[in-house]
Amino acid sequence: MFITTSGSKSQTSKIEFEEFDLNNGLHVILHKDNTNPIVSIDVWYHVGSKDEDPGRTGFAHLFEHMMFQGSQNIGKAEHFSYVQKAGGTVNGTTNQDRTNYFETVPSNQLELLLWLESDRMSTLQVTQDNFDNQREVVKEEKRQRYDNVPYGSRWGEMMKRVFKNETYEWIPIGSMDDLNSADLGYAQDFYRKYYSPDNAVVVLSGDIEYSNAKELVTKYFSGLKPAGTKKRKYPEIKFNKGEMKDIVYDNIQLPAVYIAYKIPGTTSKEIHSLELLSMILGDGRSSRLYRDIVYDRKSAKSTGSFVWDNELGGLFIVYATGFKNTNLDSLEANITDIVNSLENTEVTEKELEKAKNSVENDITGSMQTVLGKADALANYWTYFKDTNRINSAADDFLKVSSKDMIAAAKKYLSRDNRVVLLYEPKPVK
Amino acid sequence: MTNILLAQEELLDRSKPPVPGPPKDVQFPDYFDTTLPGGINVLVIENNKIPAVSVRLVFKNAGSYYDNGKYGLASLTAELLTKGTKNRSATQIAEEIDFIGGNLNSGSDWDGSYVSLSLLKKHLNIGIDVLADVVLNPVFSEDEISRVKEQRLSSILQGKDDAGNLTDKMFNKVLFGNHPYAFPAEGTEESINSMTRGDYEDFYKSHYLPQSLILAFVGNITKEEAIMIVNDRFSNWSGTPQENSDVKVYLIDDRKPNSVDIVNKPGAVQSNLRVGHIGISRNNPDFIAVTVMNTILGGYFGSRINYNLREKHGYTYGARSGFNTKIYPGDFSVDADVRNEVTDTSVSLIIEELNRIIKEEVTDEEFQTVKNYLTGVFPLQLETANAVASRVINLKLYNLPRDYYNSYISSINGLTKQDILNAAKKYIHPDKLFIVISGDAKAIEEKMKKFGPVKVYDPDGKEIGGN
Repeated sequence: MFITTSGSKSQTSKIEFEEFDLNNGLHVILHKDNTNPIVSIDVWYHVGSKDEDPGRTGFAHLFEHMMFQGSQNIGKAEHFSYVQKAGGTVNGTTNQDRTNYFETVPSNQLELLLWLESDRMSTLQVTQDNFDNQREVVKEEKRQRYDNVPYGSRWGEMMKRVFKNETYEWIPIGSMDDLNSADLGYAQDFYRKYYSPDNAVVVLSGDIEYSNAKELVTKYFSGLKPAGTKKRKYPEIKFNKGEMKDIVYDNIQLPAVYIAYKIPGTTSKEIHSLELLSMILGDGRSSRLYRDIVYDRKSAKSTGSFVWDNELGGLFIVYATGFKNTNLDSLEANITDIVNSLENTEVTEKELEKAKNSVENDITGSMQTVLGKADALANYWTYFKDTNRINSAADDFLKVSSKDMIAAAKKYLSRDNRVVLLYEPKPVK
Repeated sequence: MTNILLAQEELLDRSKPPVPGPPKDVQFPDYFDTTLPGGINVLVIENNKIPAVSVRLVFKNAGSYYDNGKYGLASLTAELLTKGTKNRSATQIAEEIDFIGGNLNSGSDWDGSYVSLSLLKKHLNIGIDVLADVVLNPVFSEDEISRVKEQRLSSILQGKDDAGNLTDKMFNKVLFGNHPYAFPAEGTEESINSMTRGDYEDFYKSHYLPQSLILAFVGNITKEEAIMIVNDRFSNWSGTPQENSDVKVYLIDDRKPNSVDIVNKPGAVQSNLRVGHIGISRNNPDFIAVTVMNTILGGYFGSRINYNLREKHGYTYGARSGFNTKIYPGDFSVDADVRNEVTDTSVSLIIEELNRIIKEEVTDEEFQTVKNYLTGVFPLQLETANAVASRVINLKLYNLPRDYYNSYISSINGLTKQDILNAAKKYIHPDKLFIVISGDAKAIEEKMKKFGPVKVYDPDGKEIGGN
């Protein structure tokens, strides 16, 4: 096959932006794209489930729900209705490290978004009724997305073991007991501490003009008070704590194996090598795992591998779902051999180039929407304090050599740095 | 500068929302549409924002509707296209596409079968080589058939623990009777096991035809480039169109309503429920009025049903209603996951809302909100070339007029509250509901009897109890 390769420079197009800080510490990023008459706002608060206290799990996410329940000038459920009446879409998400809120509207409605987001950044009104209502909604969310779903407990079970007694020990949905005991006072305190301009970034992306957008953001946000909350110290993440292996019985028909190797955080130099390794291992039907256990041996129905990176430490996940009669122990042994092959045998130039081409395609695709770009900009600011990384992201991958990858595999993809979960169907009573 | 801004902040009246600027004009993007002498309908939706291209093939009259009793045939045939050709093995196909970072997928739904390729423009020639090969030269080898079958049988097995999957299957079964839509498009254990290589070959020969093909080029590509590719790769391809079999369109009155069917999932912590009846086809002339009516009822976050069940009562993470439109009338249904104790109360609330929408005119406030919402999100839905392409393809697939989307906004704005009430009266039938639940029968069965005779099934669909 003859293909002219792109060398170490990607062809992804440059994203222009402007950024500045307000006096209260709010960071603002503006990206102009006038292709379509629409604009997105994306507000990231640097708070997530890793900031919860033990016994208060699920709180950051429950709080995200409260942010739609009204502030000084906006009543219950009105946040949604204002945006939808303006012809827009709206949502929020919570992960381990950040909580984000985003809306996309026709661009003549830009100012409405600034009004809504600045009002709830400064004057959220948390009432007992609304708190109780959203607690029930979140409990149903937990049942619908985790408890009543085959294999739904896997990531919670995984985190509990990989990060035992460390940051990230639980997932954002939290536990039913903690949700039941969550109280209003804690919510108000949580808001004061974390929901403030000095713990947030506001991104406007889309059909804007820079000078006008800057003026409007300043108008709505410059009067808000910073919280001045001291940055929390997170304990150091420890590696190689010995292999842990457990069987989980679930309401499932097919057995499955999940393996997680502990890896460093989002900003680590090794993260690109690990991402590329996961692609060679388990991305697509030509990957090492698929070729071996699904295609040749026919011992698994499906398989894959991916990096789940958090700010301070994450997981390199390898998984496979078996057939009804698959023996999980031998499937796990096969997978382990394939993972080990990464450090023992050479990563071929062809494999490396394939993974890099795939990254380039994915990055290009993620820049298709104004909201996609806003999220990327917020991400590079929040974790790297370097927004312009959006323009070097693809090149950072292209620079990785097979030597770097083998080194990363040797360091992290070892037996005593992993947790293995074997999911078996519940025995018939 | 600072002083001026401080002064502004003092003057800033936060008690009222800001007044929007003048709305910008929204145009549905122009596209190229031609039918070549061999019968292929070529569409080009050019958009040069990112250096990427998608090529999307839609074979009309090749969906699961045409399984003809061999449930899963359309779906497996489509899946097998990428599993080996006269020139390439399954592994070679995967290698070539993965190497350029592209995606090649094939599949089917009720209305058609699909092959799609997406990649960066610089790799287009390689991608097209593989794409043309899988469409024109599939071999359906026994070895690949056995792999795909085993995978499919396992998926069917896996679905028996999935609440939504169990509800959907039972709902379609009781709602559609003997109509093809009653049967699972993925197939059944029996039908998958009984299929042979000849079935796939026959289905391919009789349904993958240039005359049925919509071939859309999307993104960083001109119509000249697109036409050249088609002439180069597909011009020698011919086929004989077959006569479509007669189609029976089932009406509501054909089925016996007001029944409750529970698929038992012992120990389930939630009930997954669907309440509904037969709906409309995609090309129904009332489609837009029905869309507006349904949006108010249960079609968006601020809808009556979601507000009532979620924001008011906290019974669910979300509840929604929708018309599942296809070439022939699909279903209308309300669905939600609710906790066991409030299963019957939730169904009662849903029925109340269905009764309300057919009895009273909607309020000015909610009518205006939904008009604004639907017309406002329209440009958001046209942001990517692929989103535009999906709409253009649907115009062709469902025989809708070329200017359909140019007049979409004015069609919505032209509706009156009476139109909405008429649509509700005509298409919502609270007295003819099918209620299907997957959940813990022991916990919910007794309380569900108030809605009609209850039947309980196991995950295989076998009746195991009820009254």
